[in-house]
Amino acid sequence: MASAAVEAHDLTKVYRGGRGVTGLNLSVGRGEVFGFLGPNGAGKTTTIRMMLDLIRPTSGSIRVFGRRPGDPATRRMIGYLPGDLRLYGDLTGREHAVYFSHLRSMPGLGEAIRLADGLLLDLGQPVRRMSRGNRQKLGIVLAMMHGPQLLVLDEPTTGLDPLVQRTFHHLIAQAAESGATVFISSHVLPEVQQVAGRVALIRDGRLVLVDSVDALRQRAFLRVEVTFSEPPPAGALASVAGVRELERHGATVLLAVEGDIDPLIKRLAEYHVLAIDSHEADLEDIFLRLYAEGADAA
Amino acid sequence: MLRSLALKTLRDSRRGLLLWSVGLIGMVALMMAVYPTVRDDPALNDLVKRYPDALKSVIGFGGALDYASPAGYLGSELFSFMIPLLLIIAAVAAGSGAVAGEEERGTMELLLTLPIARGRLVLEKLASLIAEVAWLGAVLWASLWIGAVSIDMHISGAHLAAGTVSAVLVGVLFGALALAIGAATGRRGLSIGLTCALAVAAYLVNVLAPLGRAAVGRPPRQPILVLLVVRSVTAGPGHRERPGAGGRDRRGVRDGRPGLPAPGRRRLTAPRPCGGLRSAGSGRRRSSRRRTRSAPPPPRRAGTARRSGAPASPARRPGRPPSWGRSRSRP
Repeated sequence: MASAAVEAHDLTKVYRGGRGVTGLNLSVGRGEVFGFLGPNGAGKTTTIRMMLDLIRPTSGSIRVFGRRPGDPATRRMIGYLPGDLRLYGDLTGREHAVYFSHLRSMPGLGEAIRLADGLLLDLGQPVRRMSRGNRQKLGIVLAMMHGPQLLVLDEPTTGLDPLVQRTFHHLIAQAAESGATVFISSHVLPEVQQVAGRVALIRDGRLVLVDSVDALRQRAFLRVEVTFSEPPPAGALASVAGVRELERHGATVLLAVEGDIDPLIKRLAEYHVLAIDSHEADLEDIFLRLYAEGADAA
Repeated sequence: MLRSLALKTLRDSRRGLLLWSVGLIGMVALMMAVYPTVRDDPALNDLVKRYPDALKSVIGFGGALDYASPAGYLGSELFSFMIPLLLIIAAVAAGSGAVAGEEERGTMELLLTLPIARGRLVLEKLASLIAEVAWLGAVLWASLWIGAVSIDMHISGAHLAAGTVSAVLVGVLFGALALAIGAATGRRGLSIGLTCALAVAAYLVNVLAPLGRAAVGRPPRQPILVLLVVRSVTAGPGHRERPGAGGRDRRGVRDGRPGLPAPGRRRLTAPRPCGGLRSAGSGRRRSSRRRTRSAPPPPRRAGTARRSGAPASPARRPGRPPSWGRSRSRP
């Protein structure tokens, strides 16, 4: 049986500052699009850097396609987009592609031109003069040009506008269709939930849960901020099924809505509402809830 | 130029190399332009000869202070200090930036995930460092040679090459050191600082050691490493090379080789103190030496002790006097 694309056993990295990764067990199957979620500083990048042999684990092991990550043969199969992408300012996009193709011993530029066209990136411009978004696009091109079997993307959509994000998601879906494994890290769920099949949540260096996106979405909730002309009586809204009142600042109430939102809308109709603002729960909220659940269970 | 890491590194430094080349050519041109005046000024040469040994050693940067002969002039003005210094600076700049520079700029992150083994990466960086310093050496040699020919200075291209190659090797030594420190720490500033500190220390030991030896009457104990570095710094053979003094250039080259084995040290060190401290010695000693030209000179306490104080010295002697004689009898 073919080994998993990425397999971590008790992976631990200890830093003096206390940050790092503790006892991480993870298995990402081949052909999977895997979201790796966690707030900033949770250990996402640390894990990724161990996956690429940029740093070595304090203990435990990590294997990529069953091999040590430091093996050049392994690296040939990997495409990496760093979270903090740094390129050569004086080289153009095309020169970067040429340089990388030589260092990867590729016969030509591979998919570079097609990818750049798809992302509407002008390869003729020196990186020095590129916008942040365009640099990120170039980073994507460089990571994907050789058709890697494992794509490691650290916060890939930073700096990309929504339209390009859609193109990017399309590219990832294409890569996954052709059998590549994709490992995407992010600190927000929406960034990965459209493409990832499974996600892992990491916090303070520990894996909190690994679950499918669908299952996670069930647990997500909506934050609704309603501004009334005058404050509604306390408990008037919290009594609605699935609604919790989180905060109240004068006539503005912050609510958490789980499941169906319709009952809340019906109830709000009884009052004079000035503004409604709603956003899907970000990861932090899910974490908070997971912790709350953990505390309840304890 | 993007075919390999080494070529890419060279490409990155092409502007710097161009500026360095222009600077080196300018320096050589200046030195060459001044030479005829210095050579034809007997008063200056006389003055220099009357300097005390210690002063000469310091001004001559541990080498000879001899403006009269082409080799002496180039040796004291360029090869004993300026050229090694500049090549060391250029090499340390390149070496410290090779790995630590990319690491600090963050470009190393992506580079290391490409299928290149770490060892190969360092070797390619080293290769481009050597190429850079060698290029500067070539520029130096060419401008020196052209300069020498154009002002009718009697010094052969081979001797100039010997001096230049020594300086290049010194440069590569310190450049490689800077590269290694940079690769180990990932910090460019630290790499530059440590390497320069070591270079300065080596230089000081080199200039001061002969004075100390003169004072104490025996050679100070020096750790092997310092010795090696010192020998490398003082590699520039120009000041003791004479046109026609066949075979000397090879010694100059060996002098500068970083990994020089210890056994060769004694023998190879001889030329510097000989040609430097004593060749322009006091009038009394000079005349005595002229008389004993082809025989081992009588044991002069200060002199022999200063050089090595070792029984090896008489064995070395026979080879030395002819060149002394020649340099000495030059008006």
